[in-house]
Amino acid sequence: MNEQHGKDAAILQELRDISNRHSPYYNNSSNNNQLSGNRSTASSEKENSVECRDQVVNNKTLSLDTTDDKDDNTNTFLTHTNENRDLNQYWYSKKTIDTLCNAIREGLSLVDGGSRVAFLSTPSLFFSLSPKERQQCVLFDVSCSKLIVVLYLPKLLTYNDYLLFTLSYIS
Amino acid sequence: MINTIPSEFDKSWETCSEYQFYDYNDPTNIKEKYHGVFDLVVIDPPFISKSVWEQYATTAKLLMKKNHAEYGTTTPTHVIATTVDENKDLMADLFGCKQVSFRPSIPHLVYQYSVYTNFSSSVLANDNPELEE
Repeated sequence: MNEQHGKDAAILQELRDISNRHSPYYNNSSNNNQLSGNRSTASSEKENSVECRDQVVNNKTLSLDTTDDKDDNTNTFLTHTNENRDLNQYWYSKKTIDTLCNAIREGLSLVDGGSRVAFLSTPSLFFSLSPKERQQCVLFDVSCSKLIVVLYLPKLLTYNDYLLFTLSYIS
Repeated sequence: MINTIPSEFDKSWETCSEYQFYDYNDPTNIKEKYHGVFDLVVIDPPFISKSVWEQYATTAKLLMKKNHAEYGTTTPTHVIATTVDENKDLMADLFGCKQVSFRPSIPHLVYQYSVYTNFSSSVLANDNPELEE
């Protein structure tokens, strides 16, 4: 088993290295193959920073993303997700997010039996709702891959899927 | 430690909601199970052009509850949209949305956006104190 663990760890490390080399965040150039072209113009999704993606392989920090931050002045989404200019990403402020989320709650309350919200290219709002509130919600957006890795991978994918997924993302 | 990640976090995601890949260049490519089931749609496209908004409107219409897919101020499927002031008429045409007093703070964006809704929102009825200088 140890041998298998070591092998997997090595593969993951290699993937991280490859991913980092391809990351726009590691060189400030905007000539990034991944982010130029049709996909970039189609996207308003947030992209997680390299640091954030690294959390995928660091389960201590990953757990932060799964907690419900209802407490204070921080917003998990904002603190963990950088804007990406190539993708035309601009986040609302924390207070604006709070207000818009309350407007969503209000809008739902005005619909008889209303519970389901579709978030079209609005990840900052989607991820600022509590996990319970998100239960019947769906986020529709493009290039959310890094986000999925951080927030959804454990639920949606097996380990092998994760490796394939990561490979397809960086290629 | 690395190898424990997938199983380690399964429990946290039992209440996981969903993410769906979406590209506005293919606006009707939405899984059938999502057609006509939503009570509220929130929209903030990456671009402010009419053509992009029309694509998003096509998708929104698919997602809205079937009986109320025709847009209008009385539609029970509610819409919250954010875009520039110049799109005021477009928001009315596409969604029956009106501009509200609350305007969003988007710290790094050079233009000022407004919020549009097709329902009367008391939450959004006041100016945003963040924008007062």
